[in-house]
Amino acid sequence: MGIELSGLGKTFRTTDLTVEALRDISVTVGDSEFVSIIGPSGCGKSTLLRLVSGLIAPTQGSVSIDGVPVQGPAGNIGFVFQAPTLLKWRTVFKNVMFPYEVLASQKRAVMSRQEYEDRAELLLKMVGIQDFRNAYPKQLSGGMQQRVSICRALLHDPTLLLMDEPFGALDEFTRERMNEELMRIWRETRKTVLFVTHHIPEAVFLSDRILVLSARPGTLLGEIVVDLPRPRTAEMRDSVKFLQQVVITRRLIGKSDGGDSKGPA
Amino acid sequence: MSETAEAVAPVLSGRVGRIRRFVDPVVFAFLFVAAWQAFIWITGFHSVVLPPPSKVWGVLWNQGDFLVRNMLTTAITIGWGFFLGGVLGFVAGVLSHHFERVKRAIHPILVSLYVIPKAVFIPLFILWWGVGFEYKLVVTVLLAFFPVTENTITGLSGVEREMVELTRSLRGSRWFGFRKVSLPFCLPFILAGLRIALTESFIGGVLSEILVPGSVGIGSRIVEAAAFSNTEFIIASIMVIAAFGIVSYFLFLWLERRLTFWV
Repeated sequence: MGIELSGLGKTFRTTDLTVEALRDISVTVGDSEFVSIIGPSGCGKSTLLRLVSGLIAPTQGSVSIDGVPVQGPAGNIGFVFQAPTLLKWRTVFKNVMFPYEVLASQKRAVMSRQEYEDRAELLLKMVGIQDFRNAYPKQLSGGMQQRVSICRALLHDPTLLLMDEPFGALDEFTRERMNEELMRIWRETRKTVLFVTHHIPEAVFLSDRILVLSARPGTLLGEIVVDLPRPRTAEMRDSVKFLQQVVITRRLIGKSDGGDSKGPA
Repeated sequence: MSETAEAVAPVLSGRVGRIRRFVDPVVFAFLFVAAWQAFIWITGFHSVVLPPPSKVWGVLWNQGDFLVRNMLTTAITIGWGFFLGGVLGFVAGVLSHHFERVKRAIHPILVSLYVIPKAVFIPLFILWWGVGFEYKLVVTVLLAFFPVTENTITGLSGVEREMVELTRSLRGSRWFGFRKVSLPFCLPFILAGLRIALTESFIGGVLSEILVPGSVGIGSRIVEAAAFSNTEFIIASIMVIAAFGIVSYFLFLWLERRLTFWV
């Protein structure tokens, strides 16, 4: 599943305000590639994900997935938001099953309900919360809720996973653990991932490639091919090579907004 | 501070606490009635102004079924007014949230209706519908309508963008998103609005009767009793209305908690 963005731009217009969020983004993402998008806040990172998902339409340029131009949501995408966005009145298991219900309502389910249920069990097991399948979201910690949200994004076996600062609200320790877990999930599922973050070590740890966006309007400032072996392990964070990659990324981001912010530490 | 809370909380939540929670108000009510009776014995207060509890009890004992029958008539108005006001309020809330034009069109009218004391419409309604059931129903519907509309709109505008996008990104229909995401999300708001509408319906049902003596319902009986200075009858009637009000309110509260267990 390859993604191609060419000359992509988005301007939001309301009656008394015009905001150019993104300008002239051209990028290709390969199959099973893990690509992070990083940049100062308000640089249009989330807008970029929404353009790729087809939730909003570009004002310039185009997005195509596997050579097919995106015109509206295709339904083969998994979306993980910054907030877990779980439905509080549903159990963990029923939350993970939500995509099936949407597909079934459109007669687009490709497997039987039972098969989706088996898959949901499997996913919950993979992230280690199968014991909480009948719990309600408020009974879970933030990290656990986000795990459920990831399971939900994977239920319908999407070819592309879009993650919008999914670990932004978590503390540093939980974030690092979730990063390692995400790497394991990614190894097992081999999805193409577009991952928005403003956390440099996180981007370095996870990605094959990091795209650096400038401040508004977001333009592509450059990209870093992360020179670290796979599989990524927790110990790698202490390696000189890892720290070098962090420094390189930070320098590139430092250029993005004329130095008024050197990027988050 | 927290130590006190910890020390008290287990007691009140345990079996003893449950009994005490029930006993305290009963003891207080008993003392209140006793003091009332004693006050009249001692001062020899004129029973037209303030009848002793024994006289009120006498009315409840001898004419209780008459009062309850009248209250049941009123309850029909309250029930229908609550139901129709709730349904109309919900529909108006949903329409004005989903259609910007509907909102623009009806919002000024809604706001003006909201700020006007509803009682001023009563003469107009009597003129249009007479003093029968229709008029009483319209008054009750008008009162029950607003809290539901308000809360429905508040609830719907609280649905997060990501929740809507979740359904959209999977190509679910707007209707599916409304049924499975938005509606359950605002259920607590809608039910809270309905709970207010319930008490408003009691006001509407009784008030519309009080203004038309000689009609059916407990409100009319109260104005008639006032004409004969039958104070104990009035107080007994109020107690019957209160009993119905309290029972329906707590039934609703119980239902509300069951339906929105996740809150």
